[in-house]
Amino acid sequence: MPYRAYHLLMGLAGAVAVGVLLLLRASPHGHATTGPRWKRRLLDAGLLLLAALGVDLGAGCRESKDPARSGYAYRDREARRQARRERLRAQRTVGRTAAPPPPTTPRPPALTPPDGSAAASAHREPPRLEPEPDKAAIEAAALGLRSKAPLKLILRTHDEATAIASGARGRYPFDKAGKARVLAELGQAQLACDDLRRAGQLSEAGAGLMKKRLARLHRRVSGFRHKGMRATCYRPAHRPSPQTLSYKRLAARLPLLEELAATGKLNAAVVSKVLAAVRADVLVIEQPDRSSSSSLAGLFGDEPPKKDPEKGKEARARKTLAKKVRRLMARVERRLRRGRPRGLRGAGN
Amino acid sequence: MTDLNDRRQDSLIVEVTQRCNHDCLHCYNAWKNEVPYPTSEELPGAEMRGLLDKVLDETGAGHVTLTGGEPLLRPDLPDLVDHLHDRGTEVNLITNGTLLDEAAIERLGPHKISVFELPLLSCEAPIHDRLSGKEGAYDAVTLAIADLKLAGQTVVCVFVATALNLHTWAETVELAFALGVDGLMFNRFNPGGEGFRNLALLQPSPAALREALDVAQERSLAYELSISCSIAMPPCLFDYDRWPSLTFGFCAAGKADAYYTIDPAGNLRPCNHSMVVLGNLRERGFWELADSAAMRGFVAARPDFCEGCRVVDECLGGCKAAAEVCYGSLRTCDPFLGTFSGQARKPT
Repeated sequence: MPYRAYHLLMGLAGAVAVGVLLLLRASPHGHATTGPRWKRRLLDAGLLLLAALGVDLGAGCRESKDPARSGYAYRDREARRQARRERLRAQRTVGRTAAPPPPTTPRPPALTPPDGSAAASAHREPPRLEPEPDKAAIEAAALGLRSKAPLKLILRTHDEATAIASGARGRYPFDKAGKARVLAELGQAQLACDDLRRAGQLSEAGAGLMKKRLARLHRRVSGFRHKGMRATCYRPAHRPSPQTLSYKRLAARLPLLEELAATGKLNAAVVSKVLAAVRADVLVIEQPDRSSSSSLAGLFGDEPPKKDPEKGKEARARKTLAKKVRRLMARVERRLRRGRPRGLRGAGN
Repeated sequence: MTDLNDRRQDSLIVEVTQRCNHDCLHCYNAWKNEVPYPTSEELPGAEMRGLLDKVLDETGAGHVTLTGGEPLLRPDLPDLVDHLHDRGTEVNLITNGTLLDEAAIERLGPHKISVFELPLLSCEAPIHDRLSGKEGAYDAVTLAIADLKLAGQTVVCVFVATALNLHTWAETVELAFALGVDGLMFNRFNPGGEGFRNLALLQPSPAALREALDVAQERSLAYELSISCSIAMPPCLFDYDRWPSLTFGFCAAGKADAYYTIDPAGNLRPCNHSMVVLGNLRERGFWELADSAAMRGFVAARPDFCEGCRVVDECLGGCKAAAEVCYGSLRTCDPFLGTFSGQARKPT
């Protein structure tokens, strides 16, 4: 039967079925989820059949020998995509003209790309656009395959990678090892598609669609940066104070400040303001309830004593550090008063 | 099935003015390129606020970075900060610090700016001043950092790693730590604009950068100081496993944290380094421009050199914008990778 007539018949049958359901005021969803098990199974089977036919149609259209007969959905989509690609290429050219024109004067030697690809730079390649796999057909293929045990890897990997690629699991959902695992599983899942196709458990079209989808997911997940790769110019890594405040850090900072003041690398006004800020920091550290709000305080060895055997030792260490900081502050202040600090140079505008 | 094309934009960069009181040797501003920038227009305060409202509503972005030029040259900057703060937007301010005295900090309001980003180009005043093109810049920026810390603000300093200042990096980390900064950025010099004219003078070698990263690793542990590298360091030249304490950033084109940049006239560009104007946001919608062929081309482009590299979709081939600005092509290596591609070892 020609595929066009086949399509029309199937469409007509579907329309009649929908019409009957509407006339009877029946809810397909309600029927599919409630009622006796045999009825639900019958509906499931019907849906699976329709899905399988959909996949078969896609495969059949691809094999058609007559491209002029364009009643095939697949060919329609391909034609549309081709037209869209052409349109985008044209638009891109126009879009580039909106940007400042390329320089017409020859550039100095330093402007030549060091990798020697000046010829390649003379023209710009169109963007690499990936055609979107047919989601309905993939859904149908997946629905039909879900019960087969060997496909669990494919489906689990597919679902996990889809969630990551869509951002549903947050912006940085995994660390380096986690990302490597997902990418490896995506690779294995693609190989599994081939195995199933060879074993006859998956049609060529179904395996092709699934592999295409998995390859696309692989690219998307690859492009997703893991937790260790998150610095941007406007989100620089930093540890906000007051969590970072500690006697230990202040005791390390003050000698450096003293040295910078002594060598004239910082002027008096700066040193005096830094000292004032240090004094304010000491007050923050001394706050009795700080330990409860500062989870990082313990990392820097100055958290207030806890009720445990280490209590005395920690308290002594803290006291020693506090003394050291006060001594260092006094020393820097003395140096500031005694020395001849560098004055500010003209910094106006 | 989840739609893989769901998109959102977390953050926007807003260049509030082209004017600047510095003349940095490494400046990459788009209007400093040899190719003339299409406009020098600067939207007045009310229009700028209206435009930002429109774009923030469209994108749902909760974070804005204000930069320039020197943003503090706009007298209405505190109004803009107030406006963004009132609508619950997180604000970063990138400034050279020369105008950031106690009064200016007070005018900006307490804790309305999440992070102040200031340059700290060297612990040696003459080197900092030379790179900034302004005498007294070092004293001004150190004083601004001290004032900000005294006011309890969060400060992150930016060290632009060039051949002129790299030898002072270790001491500069100490200076930053002594001043009490909350984080430090180690950004390799990324040519563009004025910087490209000074390429031969400023470009450091990968070996020198690796040594500096060794220092950064050691100091970051010793001082418990966060150090990040937000300019792409190509994985074929730098093995990140050597510096586990540091955070590395990459080109974010096509991702939710892309560097979409709005210029003072309301034009949208793919990032702050790029000179390509996608269109004006006063006339067109954000997503319309983000969907444009020019932007799709920007996202999809990879340098020919990176063909076959396992991690190319992760690193996106260095800085495409720098490649385009300097050589007129998105498919050429950026000036850093291009210069040292002979030393590159593609990850396998």
